Amino acid sequence: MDQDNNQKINQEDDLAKEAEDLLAKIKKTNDDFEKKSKILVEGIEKDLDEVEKESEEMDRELEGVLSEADKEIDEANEEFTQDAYENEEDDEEDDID
Amino acid sequence: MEKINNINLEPEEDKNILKKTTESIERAAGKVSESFDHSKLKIKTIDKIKAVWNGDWLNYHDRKSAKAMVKRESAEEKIKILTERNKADQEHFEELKKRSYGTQDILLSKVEEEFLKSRQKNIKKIERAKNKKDKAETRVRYYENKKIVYENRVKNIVGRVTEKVDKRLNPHEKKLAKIGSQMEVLNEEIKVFESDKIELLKYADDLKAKLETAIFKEEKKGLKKTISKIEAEIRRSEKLKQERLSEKSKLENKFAKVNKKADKWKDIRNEFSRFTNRGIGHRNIEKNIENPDLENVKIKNDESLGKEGAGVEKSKEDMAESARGFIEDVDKGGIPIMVTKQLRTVLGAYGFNEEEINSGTPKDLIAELKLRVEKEDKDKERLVMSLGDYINYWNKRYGSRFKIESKDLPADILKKEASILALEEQIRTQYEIMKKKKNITNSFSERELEKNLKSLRFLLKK
Repeated sequence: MDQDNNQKINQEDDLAKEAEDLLAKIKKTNDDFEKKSKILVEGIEKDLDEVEKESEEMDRELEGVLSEADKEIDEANEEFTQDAYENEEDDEEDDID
Repeated sequence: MEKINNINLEPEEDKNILKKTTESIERAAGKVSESFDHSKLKIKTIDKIKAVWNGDWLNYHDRKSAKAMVKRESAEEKIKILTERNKADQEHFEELKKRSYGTQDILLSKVEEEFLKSRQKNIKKIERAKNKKDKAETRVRYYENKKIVYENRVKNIVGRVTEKVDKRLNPHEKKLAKIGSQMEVLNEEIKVFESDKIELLKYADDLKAKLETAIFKEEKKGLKKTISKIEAEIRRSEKLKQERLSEKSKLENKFAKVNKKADKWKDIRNEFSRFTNRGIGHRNIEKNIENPDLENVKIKNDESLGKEGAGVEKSKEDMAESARGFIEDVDKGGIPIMVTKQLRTVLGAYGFNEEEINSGTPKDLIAELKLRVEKEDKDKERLVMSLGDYINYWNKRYGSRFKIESKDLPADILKKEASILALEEQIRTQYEIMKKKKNITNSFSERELEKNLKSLRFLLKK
């Protein structure tokens, strides 16, 4: 009977240890994930803020570039669409004889 | 835009085109100044270039130049004939002089007088023809130089825009790609965490089951306490997961927003860079809208084209240029982050189906696109034939209204092989010459010529 009890006690001690180990493991997994994912999220947030700011600056700068190009294209088109000979009559037909 | 593209370029309308197109461009420019949305501004800028680069203005210059060339050739021909005539008259007169042996002096002096008069007249005509030749030459140079100057100027402008966008966009794209990878890492972390959690949960359930069999009160109490702590940690893990998922979702939204902005500039760069990669003589965009090729791709509601661009026909060649833009980006070290609407359209035009597009990464899709574009380019290069054969095809189909006489052309030219586009230019030149000589029916307009050239091109490609 004592032997059985001792065996049962041992089994339940093992079970308690197993539970303690599992608790520690879950806690560690949670802590690790919390720490690691927090670092990741913060890193991404920081990078995204930076990139968002940069994107706004880029928008402003490149819109300026586009606007300038637009004016230049207007000028080029205007020049190209002017024909120095527009109002000149076609040459009259010549007779060889 | 439609106005510009649909202007009927009958020769007699040449004089009105200046007015019409200038008005269209002014209207487009007016809309730009009214707009505060700069993304619309770029559409207008591109359209302004297209209107001149690919549209009827180029035809206008080409036609004017061709006209001047015909005049120059005609003046040259005239100079040749008159010079030969003077020479023949001189020879004839010399012959007469020899034969007369001084016996018919009065008659001879009359002939001489006639001869000198005619010679003087011809010399004056030669002078006039020379002036006309010079004038025509100046015009040819004027129209050809204008095209070159315009092409260089536009290439310079678009090159500058492309360069500046590239300079600004490339480091930005790299940062976005880095963020994209970090997001992937976060995603993976969450997945691994979730799978660990499931595993540990099973373990905890087993323990709970074993707890039921525990006998000793103290042990049972201690075990229960531990299991309760485990359950609390499991709840914490679920909370942590939810928190991260929510943060991830916010980050993804922000990332997509920034990406969209970058895509806008990427599209602008691609649109602009098309003009640095081809010459002004490249006529294809938005022509013959009323008679599109079967192989053309219809794009509806493409926001990148703006309101006015929606529903316009984009030729296969236009698609090829967009494709090259994406390929070049990757070749230059760019990292495609997502399949943009424009890329999706291009992929569609190259036979990618929805499933392929949705399952492939942008990088892999562009690599496959490159292979397809290269194959198509090779196929195109093979499409050459001799001028003689091309004229035969032409005459079979359109000879009843505009027949080209092969016998008028030198044999070596007829045998020479060239690309379809080069052969079409030969036909245009023949058309100008025959029109000048009035060997062509008036009802066969230049528009009809272009339409027939296009149809024949399509048939030959098939």
